[in-house]
Amino acid sequence: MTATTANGLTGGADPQRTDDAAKRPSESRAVMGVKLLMALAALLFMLRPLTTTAGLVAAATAIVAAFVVARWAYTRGMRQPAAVVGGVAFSGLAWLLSNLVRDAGWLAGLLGVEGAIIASDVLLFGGALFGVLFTIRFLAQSGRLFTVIEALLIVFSVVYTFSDHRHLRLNQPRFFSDWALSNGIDPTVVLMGMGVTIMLLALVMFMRRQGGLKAILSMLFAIIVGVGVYLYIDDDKVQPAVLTNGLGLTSDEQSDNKDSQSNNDGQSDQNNDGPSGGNGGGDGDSPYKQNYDNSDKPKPVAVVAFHDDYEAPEGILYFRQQVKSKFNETHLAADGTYDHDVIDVFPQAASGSGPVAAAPSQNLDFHKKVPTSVYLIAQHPQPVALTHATELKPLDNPNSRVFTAAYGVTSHVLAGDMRRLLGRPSVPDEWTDEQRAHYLAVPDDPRYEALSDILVRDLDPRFRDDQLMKALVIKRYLEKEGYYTRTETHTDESDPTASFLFGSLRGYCVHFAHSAAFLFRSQGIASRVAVGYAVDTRKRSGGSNLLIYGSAAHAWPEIHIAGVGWVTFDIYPEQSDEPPTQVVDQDLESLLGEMAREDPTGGRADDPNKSPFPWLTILWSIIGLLGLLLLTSYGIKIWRRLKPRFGSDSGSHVWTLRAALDRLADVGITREHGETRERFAARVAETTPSLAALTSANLSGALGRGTDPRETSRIYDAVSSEFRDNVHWFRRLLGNLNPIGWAFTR
Amino acid sequence: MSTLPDAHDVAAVAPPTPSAGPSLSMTADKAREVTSRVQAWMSHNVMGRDDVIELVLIALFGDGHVLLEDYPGSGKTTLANALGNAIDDDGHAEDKLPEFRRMQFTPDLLPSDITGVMMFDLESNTFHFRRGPVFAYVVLVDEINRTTPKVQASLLEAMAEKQVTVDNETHQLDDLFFVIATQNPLDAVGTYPLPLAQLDRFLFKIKMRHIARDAELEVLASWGKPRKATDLPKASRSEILATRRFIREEIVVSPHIHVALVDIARALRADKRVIQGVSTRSLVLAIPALQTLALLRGRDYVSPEDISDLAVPLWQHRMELVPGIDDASLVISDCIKPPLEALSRATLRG
Repeated sequence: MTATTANGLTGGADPQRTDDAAKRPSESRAVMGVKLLMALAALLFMLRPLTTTAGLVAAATAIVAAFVVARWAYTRGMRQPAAVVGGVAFSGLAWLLSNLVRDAGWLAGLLGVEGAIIASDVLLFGGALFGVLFTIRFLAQSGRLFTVIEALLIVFSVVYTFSDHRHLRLNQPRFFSDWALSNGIDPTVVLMGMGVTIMLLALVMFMRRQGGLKAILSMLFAIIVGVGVYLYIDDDKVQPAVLTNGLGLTSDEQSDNKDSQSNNDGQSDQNNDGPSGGNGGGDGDSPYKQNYDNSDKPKPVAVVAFHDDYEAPEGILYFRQQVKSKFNETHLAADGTYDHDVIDVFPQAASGSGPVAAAPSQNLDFHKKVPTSVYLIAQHPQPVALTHATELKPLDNPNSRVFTAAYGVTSHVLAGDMRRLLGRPSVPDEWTDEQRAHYLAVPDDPRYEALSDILVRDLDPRFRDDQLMKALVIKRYLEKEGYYTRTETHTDESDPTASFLFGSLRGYCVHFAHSAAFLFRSQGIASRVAVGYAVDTRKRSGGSNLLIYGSAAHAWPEIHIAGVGWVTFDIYPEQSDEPPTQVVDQDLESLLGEMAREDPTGGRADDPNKSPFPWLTILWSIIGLLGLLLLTSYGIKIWRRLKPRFGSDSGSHVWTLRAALDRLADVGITREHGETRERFAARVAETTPSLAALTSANLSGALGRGTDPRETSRIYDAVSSEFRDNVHWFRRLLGNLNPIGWAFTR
Repeated sequence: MSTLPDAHDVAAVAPPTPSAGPSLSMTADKAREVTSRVQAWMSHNVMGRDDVIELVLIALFGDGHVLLEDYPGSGKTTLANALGNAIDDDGHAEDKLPEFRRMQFTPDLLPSDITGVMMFDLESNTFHFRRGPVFAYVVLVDEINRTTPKVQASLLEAMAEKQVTVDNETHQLDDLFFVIATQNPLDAVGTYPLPLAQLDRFLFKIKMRHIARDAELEVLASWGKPRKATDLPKASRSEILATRRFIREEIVVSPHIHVALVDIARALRADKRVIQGVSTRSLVLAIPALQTLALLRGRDYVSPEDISDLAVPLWQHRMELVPGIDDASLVISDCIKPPLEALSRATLRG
C-alpha cells in the first residue's frame, strides 16, 4: 500500500535535460583564415632558423593541413578523446620515424646523407607538427578554454625566437637587426615592439569572445608563459652562446686557438711569457716580448669564486701561475730546483692523486687561509691560484664546454700590517748555500749594487740594517721614477733590464719586476719574479665571483722574509700612459660565476650559502606536505570507517550511513547534487539494496523518533556484505586505496 | 523496508482525542488502512491517474482543497464522485449530509446558489435556512473561474473557514468539507481568473496531463460495464477525521524540516524570476500535507524526500513570475536544492 511511486509527482520538478546538439558549429571561415595566417607567420618565423627549406615547406603544408583536417574532423563529430589520442600518437610516431631516419645508417646509405636529413626534417616538421597542431585546433574548436592554448602557441613561438636577441646577441632573424643597426636604431626596441605587437594581436584575436576579466586573466597567463619561456631558454640555451660571445670565441675558434698554441710550442723560441699565452718560457726565453693582447675586448681567462669574504689589503688580488727565480744571464727564468712552494701541476681527480700540496713556506702566524674555487676558461700550463696557494684539490667541472679546468685552492694570504714583518732577515739560516746563491744571483753589472747602495744610504739609521725597509726604499724609488708604458719594450737591448733601469725608466711590469728583483738581490734580499694575474678589485662591485681577464696579466716581484715566507712585493709606478683599467663586465662575471657554481660539489660543500635558492628544500617540503596530507586523508578515512564499531549508540544512525556512503564514494558512486538520500539509495539498490533501509534509519534518527542502534548496525552489516558481494574485488581494492573518497561523500 | 516503529509504540504515545468527533483510538497501521481504503475506491474508478489520486488523498487527509487544472472530459467528476462514494456517513450528524455534490459554475450564479438561502416557512411563520450544495463532504466545483468574483468569494470563505454566512447567520460546514475545484487552462474567454490571494487557499494546484495509452485503452474497454464498487470497504467520516488528527499529532516534523521549508520560501522570494513569492500560509498548509505523505510512505517522520515530491504542487500556483518565465516548476526545483542539500548534510552530522 505504500508502493506509490514518486514519478508522477516529481516529473515536473526535474530540470529539463538538454540534448547535446547534434550538429557542431565550428568557428567561421574568416576567423579560421586569420588564425591560419597568424599560425603560419609565427611558426614559420620560429622554425626558419631551425630547419631546411624542405622542412619549412613541410611545416607550412602541415599547418594548413592541420587547420583544414581539424575543422573537418570537428564538424563531422569526431570525439574529443579520439582526436587528442590520434593527434598525439601521430605526432609521436612522426617524431620517432624522424629520429630513425636521421640515425639509421642503412637509411642514410639508401637516401644519401642529404636525403636522410631532408626526410628527417620533413617527418619532424611536417608530421609531428601536424599531429600537435591538429590536436590543438580540435580542442580549440570544442572548448573556448582551449583557444588559450592556441594563443600560447603563438606567444611561445614569438618569445622563443626573440629570446635569442638578449645580450645584444643579434642572431636570428638577421634581416630585422641588420636593418635596424644600419639605420642607427637599437634593434632591441624594434624587436621588442614587434614581439609585443604580435602578442597583443594574438590575444585580441583569440580572446575577443571573452569578458573583460577573462581577457585580462588570459593576458596575464600568456605573459607568465612568455616570461617562463624566456627564463627557460635563458638557462638552457643562451648562456653558452653568450659566453662564447663574451670570450669572442666560438668553440671552433677555441680549438683553432689550441692548435696555434701547440704550434707555438713547436716553435720553441716564441717569447710568450704572459700567462694568457700559456706556455711558460723555458730557459733561454726572453720574458720581455710580452705578447700583449691588443684587441679591444679582453678575454676572460678564469672565474674565481671566493668562499669567504676577503678583501685584498691594497685592493689588488694576485693570482700566481708561475715564479721565475733562476738567474739566466739577463733575466730570471722558471726553474723547479727550489721553488717547491709553488704548485705547478693541476690536481687530477681521475688519476686519484687528489689534492696537491705545496712545500710549506708560509708561516701561519702571519697568514690566514682563504679558500677559493678556480674555474679556468683559457688553457693554462700551470694552475692559476691566489697567492700563496698551499693546496689544490680537484673539483668537478660544471660545464666542460666553458671551463678547461676546475679546482679548489687554499691560499695563505698575508694578514695584518706590513710593520709586523720588520726586523727580520731575508734569508733564513737553514737555507743551503746553493739555495742562497740561487735566490741572490744578480747580473754581472756593478751598477745594480751601486744604485741600490745609493738608495738605501739615506735610510733612517734605525732601519739601516732592516732588509724589509731596504726593499721598501727600492720599491719607492721605482714607483716614483718609473714610467709605465707598453710602448718601450727594450727588446733590442742585450740586457733589457739594465736598459730600462739605467736608461729611460720607461717600461712595463716585467721590467719593473726584474729591476726590483735584481736591486733586492744586490742588497742580499732573496727575491724572485712571480707571473700571473693582478686584479684590481677597487673598481668592481661586490659579489663573491671574480672574473679574470687576460688583460690583467702581470709580473711582480716577491721577496722572502725569514720566518714569514714569500711576500708579494709589487711595484706600482706612479706615472703611466695606460688608460684606466677595464671596467669589469658585471653581467658576464656573475653569469660565469653562476655557471661555475652549478658544480654540485664546487668545493663549497662547507659553504652555508651553497645554493642561492633552496629548490631541493622546497621540493622535499612539498613532498613532505603531500605525504602528510595523504596520511591525514587515510587517517580520516579509517576513522570514519571504524566509527560505527565503537561510536556512541546515540550517533549510530550517522556513523553507519556515513561509513556505508564512504565505501560507495570510494568506488565512485556518489549522490548527485539535489538528489535526496532516498532516491540515491533507490538508484544504488542494485549494488547495496539495504542502503535504503540504512538511509531510513538515518533519517528516522535525525528527523524522527530515533532508531534501535542494534538494528541499525545489523543493517549496516548487511550493506557491507552486499557491497562485498556486488562490487568486484579489484574495484573494492582500488576503493580502499583511494585516500579521498570520503571527501565526496555528501 | 518500512521503518515505522512497532505499532504499539505509536499507540502508546498517541493521546486520546476527546475533543472533536467520536473518540476513536488510532494506530499508524489503522491510519494507513483508512487512507488505503479511500485510495482503493478512487483507483478502482479512475484509471491512469495514480499521481493525481495520491495528491487528492494527501489533500483530503491534510485538510486542504485542490484545484485541478484540466481539460474537459478527463475524469475529474469521476474522480470526485469516487472520492465521495468512498466516504461513508456513520450517522454522527443530526441530519444526514450528502457525501458528494457537484456544482457547475456559470456567470449567472449567485452566492446563495451555493451557500443556501433563508426561506420563509409559512407553517411556522419563521425563516428557515435551506442548505446549499456546499453542505456536503466532498464538493466538486467545475470551472471555478467561470463565475463572478462574488460567488468565488463566498465559496472561498466556505473553504477557508468551513462555514457559510447567510443573512448574518453563520452556519458551520462539516469538518470533513473538501473541495475539488477545476478550471480549464486554455478556454479563458469570458472567465474571471482567480487572483493569487484566492489561489493561495488551495493546498494543491494539480496540472493534469493526458493519461497514458494503456490506461486510455483500459478506459475504453471497461466503459459501460457495471462497476462492482460496492464490494470495496468504505471509510467512515469519523475514521477520516481521526486519521487526520492522528497525522497531525503523530507524524514527527523535525525542526530541520521547518528550517528547510523557511529556507525554500526565502529562496523562492529572492529568486530573480519571481515577482511575488510564496506566503507564510503556504508553509503552514504544507506541514499536514507533508505529514500525510510521510504516512502514505510508511514513515512516522517527514523526510526531505516528501518536500522534494510535494514542492511543485504546493507552490507552483502561489507565485507570480517575471513575464517570459512560464514554468514555475523549474524555478521551484532550482530553489529547493540548496536547502534540501543542507538538510541532507544535517542528517549526517553526529
